Amino acid sequence: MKRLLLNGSPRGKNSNSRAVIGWLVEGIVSAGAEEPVIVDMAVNDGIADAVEAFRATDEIILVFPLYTDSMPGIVAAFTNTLAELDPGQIRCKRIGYVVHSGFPETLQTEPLAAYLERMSARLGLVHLGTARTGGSEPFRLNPMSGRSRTSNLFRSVGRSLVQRGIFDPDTLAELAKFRRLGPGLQFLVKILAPTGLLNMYWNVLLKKHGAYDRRFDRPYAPAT
Amino acid sequence: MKILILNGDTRPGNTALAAYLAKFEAGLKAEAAEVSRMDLAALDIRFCTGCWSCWWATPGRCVFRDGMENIYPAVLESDLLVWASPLVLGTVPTLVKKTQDRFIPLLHPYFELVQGEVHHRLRYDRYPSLGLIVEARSEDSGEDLSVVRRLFERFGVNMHVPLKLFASTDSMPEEAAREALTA
Repeated sequence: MKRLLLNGSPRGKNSNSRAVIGWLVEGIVSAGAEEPVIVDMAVNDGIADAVEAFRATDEIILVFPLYTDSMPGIVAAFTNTLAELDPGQIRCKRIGYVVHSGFPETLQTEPLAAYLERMSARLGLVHLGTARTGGSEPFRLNPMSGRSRTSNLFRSVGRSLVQRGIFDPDTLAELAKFRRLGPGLQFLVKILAPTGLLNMYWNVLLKKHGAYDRRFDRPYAPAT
Repeated sequence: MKILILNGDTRPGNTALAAYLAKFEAGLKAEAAEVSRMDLAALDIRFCTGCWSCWWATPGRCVFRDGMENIYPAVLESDLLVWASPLVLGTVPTLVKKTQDRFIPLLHPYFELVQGEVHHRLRYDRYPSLGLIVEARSEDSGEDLSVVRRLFERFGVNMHVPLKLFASTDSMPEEAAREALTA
């Protein structure tokens, strides 16, 4: 059977979504299925290519990062195009989603997951599940992330799709387990925030770009 | 009170949303509110590419110098920012979503706790509260409306501001105007 993996990251090939897609593909192939087709929506005519590939495929996984609490603009452009198609062309296709956020807590992706389920039903698609995980920014950068627990859970999601035709709900629950910071971690974030430890990643990159001294710039501040 | 309306309607002519907004604006002006409206369709707005130059290379500034350069100062000068949008598949369409994505230069990359959650710290001293006016379609249920409302409440948490106004074009625009003025 043909499967399609859609990369909805605005960063294209160099994205955390692509890292997740790599793990899903490993899971899918290890379960004996053929290598899925991958389309990067951010590349060239990616949205038109994604729509075309979507029409030609029975089973689709759409992977993207949380952008301002919903799907990125390019993913909206994709779904808006689906809405214009003849419903008969896409009805009964099976679709699963992966939504990941840089923010650590999965409560931040809950409203979007609720939306995606309703959107699927409205388009007449069969919803296979939505995998959600936080803390995704290191996925593409950390050479060890391919050995992480999260990567293995995504491989399991890929396998369960081949073996059972759905995203295994227990694996999804495991991926989304870190729903919010407990009181201890909240306290830790509060005391670490002023020390700069929490923002080391940002400071390293600000310095790398020679922008550290300008980090508090307010180019659009209203005249007072 | 300064109110900025970002109109995400791309359809020509007198749509239900356009008619609603005309009455809504009149209601606000009758109470001496300072109202400005920007039609997103008339602005050139590019998609965010996630490069994060606005966070680590040119703090506060996007690499794209496009229609957003008109929007940023107007947002920061307003007390209430009202998004107006038709619904497509039960949520705001591409034009509105890509504009929302381009709001990240208004935030600072540093993390801090907001309502016990990790969010980005604010770059500026003050931000407008949010409003959302939607034109629903016949297939949009009450549940769909609460889902899109929830997405905008979350967008508000991200910007550390409340969603003070939520209305559909089925409601009375005069009432929405009154609500906006108490926001």
